[in-house]
Amino acid sequence: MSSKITYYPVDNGDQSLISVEEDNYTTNILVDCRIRETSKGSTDPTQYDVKADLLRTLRKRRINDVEGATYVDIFTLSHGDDDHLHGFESNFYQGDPKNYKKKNKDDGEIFIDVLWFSPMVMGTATNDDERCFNKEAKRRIKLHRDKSADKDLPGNRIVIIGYDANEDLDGLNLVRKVPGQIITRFNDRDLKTFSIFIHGPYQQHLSDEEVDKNRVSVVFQARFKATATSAGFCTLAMFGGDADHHAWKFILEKTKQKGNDVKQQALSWDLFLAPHHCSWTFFNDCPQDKNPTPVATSLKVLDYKRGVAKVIASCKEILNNDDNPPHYKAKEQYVKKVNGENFLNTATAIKSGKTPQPIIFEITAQGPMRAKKTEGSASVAGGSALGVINQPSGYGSK
Amino acid sequence: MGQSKPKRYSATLAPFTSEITNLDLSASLQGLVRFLGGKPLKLFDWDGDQLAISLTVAVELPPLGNFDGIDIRKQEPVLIVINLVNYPHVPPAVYPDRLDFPKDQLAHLYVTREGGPPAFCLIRGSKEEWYANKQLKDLVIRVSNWLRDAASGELTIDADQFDPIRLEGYWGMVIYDYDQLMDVVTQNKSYIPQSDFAIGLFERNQSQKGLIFKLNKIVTPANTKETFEEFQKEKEKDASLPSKKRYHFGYIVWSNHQTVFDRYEVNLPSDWERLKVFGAQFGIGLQNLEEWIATADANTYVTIPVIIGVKRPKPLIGFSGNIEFFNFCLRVDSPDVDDGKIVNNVSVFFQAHKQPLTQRRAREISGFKGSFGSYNLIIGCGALGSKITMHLARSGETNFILVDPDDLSPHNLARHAAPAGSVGLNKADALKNEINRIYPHEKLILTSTDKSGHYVLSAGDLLKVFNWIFDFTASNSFSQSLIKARVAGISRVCKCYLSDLGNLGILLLEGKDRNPRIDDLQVILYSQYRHMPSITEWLQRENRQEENNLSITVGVGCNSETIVLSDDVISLHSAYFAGVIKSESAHEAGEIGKIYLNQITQVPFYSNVCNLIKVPRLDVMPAVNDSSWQVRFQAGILEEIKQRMKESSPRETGGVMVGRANFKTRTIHVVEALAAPPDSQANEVCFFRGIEGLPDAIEQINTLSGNQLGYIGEWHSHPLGPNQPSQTDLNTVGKFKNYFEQLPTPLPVFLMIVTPNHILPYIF
Repeated sequence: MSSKITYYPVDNGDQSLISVEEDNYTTNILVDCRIRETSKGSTDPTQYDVKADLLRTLRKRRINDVEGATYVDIFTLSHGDDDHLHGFESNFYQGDPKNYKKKNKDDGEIFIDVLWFSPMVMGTATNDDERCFNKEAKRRIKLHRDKSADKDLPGNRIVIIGYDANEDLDGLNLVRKVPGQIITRFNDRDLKTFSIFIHGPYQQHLSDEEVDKNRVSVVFQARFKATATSAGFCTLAMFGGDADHHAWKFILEKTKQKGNDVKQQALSWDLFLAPHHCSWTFFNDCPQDKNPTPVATSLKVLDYKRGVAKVIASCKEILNNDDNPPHYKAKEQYVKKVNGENFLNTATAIKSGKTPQPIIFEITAQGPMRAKKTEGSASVAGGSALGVINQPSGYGSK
Repeated sequence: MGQSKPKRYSATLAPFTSEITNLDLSASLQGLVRFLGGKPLKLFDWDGDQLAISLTVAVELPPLGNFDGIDIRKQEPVLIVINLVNYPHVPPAVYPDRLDFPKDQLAHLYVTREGGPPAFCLIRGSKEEWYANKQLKDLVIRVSNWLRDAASGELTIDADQFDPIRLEGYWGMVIYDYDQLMDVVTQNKSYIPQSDFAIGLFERNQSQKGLIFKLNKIVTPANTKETFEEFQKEKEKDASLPSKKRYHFGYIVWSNHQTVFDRYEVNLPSDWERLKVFGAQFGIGLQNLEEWIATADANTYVTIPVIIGVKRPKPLIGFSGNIEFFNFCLRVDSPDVDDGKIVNNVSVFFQAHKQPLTQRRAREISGFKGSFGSYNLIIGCGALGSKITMHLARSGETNFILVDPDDLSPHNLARHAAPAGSVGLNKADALKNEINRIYPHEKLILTSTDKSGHYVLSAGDLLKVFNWIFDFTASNSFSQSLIKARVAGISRVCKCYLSDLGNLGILLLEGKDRNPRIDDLQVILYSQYRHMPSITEWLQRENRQEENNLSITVGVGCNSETIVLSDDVISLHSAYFAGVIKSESAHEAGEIGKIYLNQITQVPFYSNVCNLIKVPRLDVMPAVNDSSWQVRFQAGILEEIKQRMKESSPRETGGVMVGRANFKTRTIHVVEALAAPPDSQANEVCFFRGIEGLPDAIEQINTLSGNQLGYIGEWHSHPLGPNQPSQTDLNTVGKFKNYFEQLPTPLPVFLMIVTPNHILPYIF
């Protein structure tokens, strides 16, 4: 098994899974989620069943008395907008881990060992899933602030990304990471082949009088090494939530100022998740026709690509129209940098019939590579999802 | 990619024009055409018996450049070579169709025939089995994935290890321990000091697939004389003698330089001149060896094994060191040598290396991680014992002293692990020989004796060294000796036997410091009639057989032709027991003892069910009046009795105890304390045990336990003292004693007095 990054097809929204294989353990880091009820089961062939895939892919362990409970090591939330957190309430376990019961497992609730979030969880929620997420984050924060004996149990662990001078989060610097820092410890395990460089959010944006939620997205670079002793990185993948060109300008300048673009290769990338579902906001202000020229700093960010790099646009199919997001002109900018064959739209890159499939990159010593083709076999039996058994078929002599 | 158009191997092949009569093949070809989008296939004649399909495979290349800059391209031409007659039983092979394919940089290519391309090694394991469930399109996918892995450096599963060259076309094999030769090479243990080759004495056998050489020993200056004497002795033996060994002197050659080589060589040499070139590619000169062969070689046969040790940059996958050995044989006759040289270009063939089975390897193969320690005693090498022992031995565990006084009779072959040739040998010896044959290259801590188990147990201090003592005897007599034996605290005692006409396998594993002991476990197994109907049924069957005067009692031995018990039944039990023993050996002795049961049933179909009963430590105390007797209480009974005393205090109370007495081991086991019958009477100084319901209760226990358990004694309390029997108590004892002595098997009189601070068992 090699380490992997999976970009799920969730239309306009983000859901990515970073799976790090080390010492016979897979550390799974879920970045955002968009689990639509309509994608579950086989009712709508145009939607990939992301929940079923999570339940299949994530590790299982005994939690309390419940055998085979599905859990994710880390759930990291870029920001609380619906398209990054949809389905959180009903698909993830929330509350005291000691109360996790068989019913929670039977209901398909995924247990989260560590929650990563920005200080934005202390603010006002704008959707139900965000309200639930913030409530769960605050429950965990309280345990840490109170120095509860249970604070470091799986299910209570937290990492706060960014600093906003919020007094309610004072004293929590032990579990806080700010831009420029590198994380090497994941769910109570030190990893030698994987690390995360934090790029955002910056205090300056978090402290704006009118905070722009997209601008304060958690931005990070996932960094893989081929082996623990490798000198360089074999895969660098950039995750930027919905961060706009202002945020990226800041990131570019700060990182260069500290020399981390060279010392840490912190701006380089092999995989770039196009921010805000391939919207124009990464390149300039909207509307695009009023601001048609991409800002130099965003183009500069793209120039940090290495080798045959790839851009992933996690959005619906990109058509040549005025929609935003995704924005056709934004796609054109990316394609200019990486060529058409390396611009992958989650809605269209891989399809099985009408159903878009996740884009999976396996981490190799020579960079991230598309998962191998799957061999068939000489014998076969139909599954329950087979189209013909989900619709009536007529027979007769006439 | 800017590369020039590759030169194709297929350009040397003629187009395939014959008709395909193999229906499987034509169907597969049609399937492939569909998979490729309907384009007609380009077919070539490979060698008359096989056709070659020329294809171009799309390859995903890594974004950060190919590993080591290896020249794998986005579009790779390949040839799928298919046997016209034997397809699909003989699966297709795939070759790169590019003469400049980087074959010397890749491990997973088969060694090639002269001039031809090397085939891809696509499958770990059997190609035939893999292809049995695949189609031609899957082969194309696999080739594409293989090339993707080659480009990204992922062909080698472990990046910290070196992948050895895939070899095919062996003629015979050579068997030696890799570590032994590795030591010779890395320590430069040359026969002639400062030189670069060692001499080995090899024993030859012939099979239809070529010569088989087995390394007997490395010849050193110190053992030269005796080796030559041995060589000479065998040489002089008449060829028709079955005991004659055919010895060859062979050579191990290497380079004294530390330079390592990572190149692969898929063209193996077929003659002496090419062998020299082959060696030179890896920095190995054959001049010293050549001179020795031409002037000092003592071989009487013409074939000379020559093993070339190549230094690789990393340890080889599957081996402990970084030396990759290539195994050749030269055919050198007298006219081939002159003036210190091999003057003719003699032929060379290469052989497969086979590692002799070592205990370490056997443990790896078996996935066995437990540990038995240095010395273990196995008493009883009959059918069951021999099979359990062989299971352990094949898992790499052989530190045994095997004990059995019996010789192997022809009828034993129906269910003993020893081979047929062992008839007449002592069973322990036969078993030892068989284990030694599995590990001929190792010195085992393994010995055998035809003494009896009783004799070994009487050996005093010797008993203290054993980590495990296994009783596979099915002998009650031996078990009694084992119960009484002064076994060291470190020893773990385990008894395995069969009962219920061989259908019930029982493994008793003692707890730490022999508590619970095997007799404790036995009695507690009987007491399980309370929870397990299958135990009741078994005990009742045993009881009926005893009543019918059959020779089978609890614990059946099968060293008799009259016992009907098949090899498969014993194997099923012994495999289960061996599995239990291995898993128990993975951890220290515990505070509890264990009873493992393997129950085979014939109806409604042949099947088996396993059970584990965990037995906590027993409370053990000697009789107050006669310390040669011991009373052993199942855990919890004494607490129950004390509780009843407390509840009745200040009045006395008491009751009847259920269990079993053994005069041989002078032990009373108590498994249950019955409550005082309702018609009992008591005051502060007296207790009259009533009888209401008691006979029925005991009768039921007798019946359900097949008479293994029953009334064994009585207890009463002295809540206010004294700490000894009263005169009334002693009168009752006298009365009981008179009565019990009239019984066919007299019961001991067991009376127990319980006071607030003491438990006082008396046995009269």
